[in-house]
Amino acid sequence: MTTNLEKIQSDLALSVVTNSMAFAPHIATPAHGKKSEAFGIYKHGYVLRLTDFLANDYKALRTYIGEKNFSQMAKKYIEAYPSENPNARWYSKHLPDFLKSYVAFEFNPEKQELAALELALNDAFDSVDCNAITLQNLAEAEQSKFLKTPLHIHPSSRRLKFQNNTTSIWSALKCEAEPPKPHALDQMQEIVVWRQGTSSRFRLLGDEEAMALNAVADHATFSQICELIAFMDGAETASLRAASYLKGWVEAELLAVV
Amino acid sequence: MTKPTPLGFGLGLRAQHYAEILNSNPAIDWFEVISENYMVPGGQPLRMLDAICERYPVVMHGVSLSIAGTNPLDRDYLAQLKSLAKRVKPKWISDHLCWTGVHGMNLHDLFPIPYTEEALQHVVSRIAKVQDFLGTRIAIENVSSYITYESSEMEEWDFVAEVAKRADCWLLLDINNVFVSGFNHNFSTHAFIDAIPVDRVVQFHLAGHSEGKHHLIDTHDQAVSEEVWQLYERALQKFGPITTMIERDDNIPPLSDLVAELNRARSISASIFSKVAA
Repeated sequence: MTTNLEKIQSDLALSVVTNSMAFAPHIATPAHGKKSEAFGIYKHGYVLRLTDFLANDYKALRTYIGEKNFSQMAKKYIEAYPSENPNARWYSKHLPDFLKSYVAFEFNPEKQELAALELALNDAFDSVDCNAITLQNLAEAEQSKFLKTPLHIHPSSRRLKFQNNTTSIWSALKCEAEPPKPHALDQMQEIVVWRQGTSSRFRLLGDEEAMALNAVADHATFSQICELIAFMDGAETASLRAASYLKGWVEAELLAVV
Repeated sequence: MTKPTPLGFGLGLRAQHYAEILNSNPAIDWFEVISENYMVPGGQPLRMLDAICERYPVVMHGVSLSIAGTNPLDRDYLAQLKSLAKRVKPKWISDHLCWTGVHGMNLHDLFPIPYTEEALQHVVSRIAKVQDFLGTRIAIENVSSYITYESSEMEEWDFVAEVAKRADCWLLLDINNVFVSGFNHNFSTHAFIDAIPVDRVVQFHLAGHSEGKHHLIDTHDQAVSEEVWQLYERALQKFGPITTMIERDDNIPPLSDLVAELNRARSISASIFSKVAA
């Protein structure tokens, strides 16, 4: 049986989400102004608050598309995705998916990619803690054992593939510079996003490094990575190239101690 | 029933001030952290929290417990809250006398409830469950509101007092919320303060509000108003030295501005209690 309290909460929530005044009969006559003004504070606050959550998580996108377009997009997102999580931190996580079918951005794929990049950076920022392998760990490791030890990528890492010059746009926006005109790339760009120390970072990956890092994500050993990249290109320098990647990953805190 | 020892004068911990706090150890007696901000897997927020907890007493203040909600209590949320409390070891945990969503939806607002016997029993029962789960008394805060309900059967202050008594919980008295709701619903803020039992109040909140066309709005985006300072003085006279903090959530100023506001609270308190001592 629905109690009076359940009905009130259900009716109020529906009126807030649908921006209606159907809830008015439950409201006592206000001391000042009209019921619609008093209840409007909640209705207005709902959209404003969720828009703020989005704006906080997608600062570059907001700058890129402008306040008005961002508010319009936020309104549509809020209609499509009522919040289901008590923690506002996770409210905006569906935005990149939402933008894939957002008609207003249909011919601007870089906007969806920009959102995907910001989401990955946000997620890396407060993802699970894990010690990273250091150069000292490498120096102290017994070589024959290390070669056969499965590697683990840092749990904060995320991989993205972009078809547009989105990273250049993001970098310009980050520096408060004029972003370059959007354009499609000749070749898909692979990116790794992760947290180094307390800061989120991203890096573009060449084909070979992307493949090697995929292997790390599958817990390949260093020996296996050497074999893999030898197969891809010049076998005689494969070990050197693999060692160079390994050093770069360790310096970037991309490999996890397990 | 012994109230926790007063903590003095604190501020809400905000990310904008992390570095300054950790670099300069400002003379702030304690910090209040928004629980949900630290319900994340890891990274900088939790590192900063750990560093602050090493140096200052901390209390945890939530915005999503939805203690008056008619959805079942969110067990995942409570588990996260308990886990965070284990990490922080807060002096106490607080949340609001409100509901935040229904039907699995969270509206991220602090909605008031009708002040009825039905709502009272509902809230009291849920506070008991939460306190059992957390293994500690929680503090419940009065909210600012912009509407009242046709079905209300009692005054807000009687409801709040009765909740504390029946649920055996603490109260966090938000002085600004009393002022904002008092203006919006044209009730006597003194009547509110007078009705709240002294033995339940463990903390005061002070905050700024903004003025709408016909309503005051609890925005926490500006300095504490003169009227709220006056009400704070009256509350101190009734409740004695109570742990006090200033909440600022938007338009966040330099830490020094907030410390200056906090020092005003210290001065008011010192002035009242030095007179009492004399």
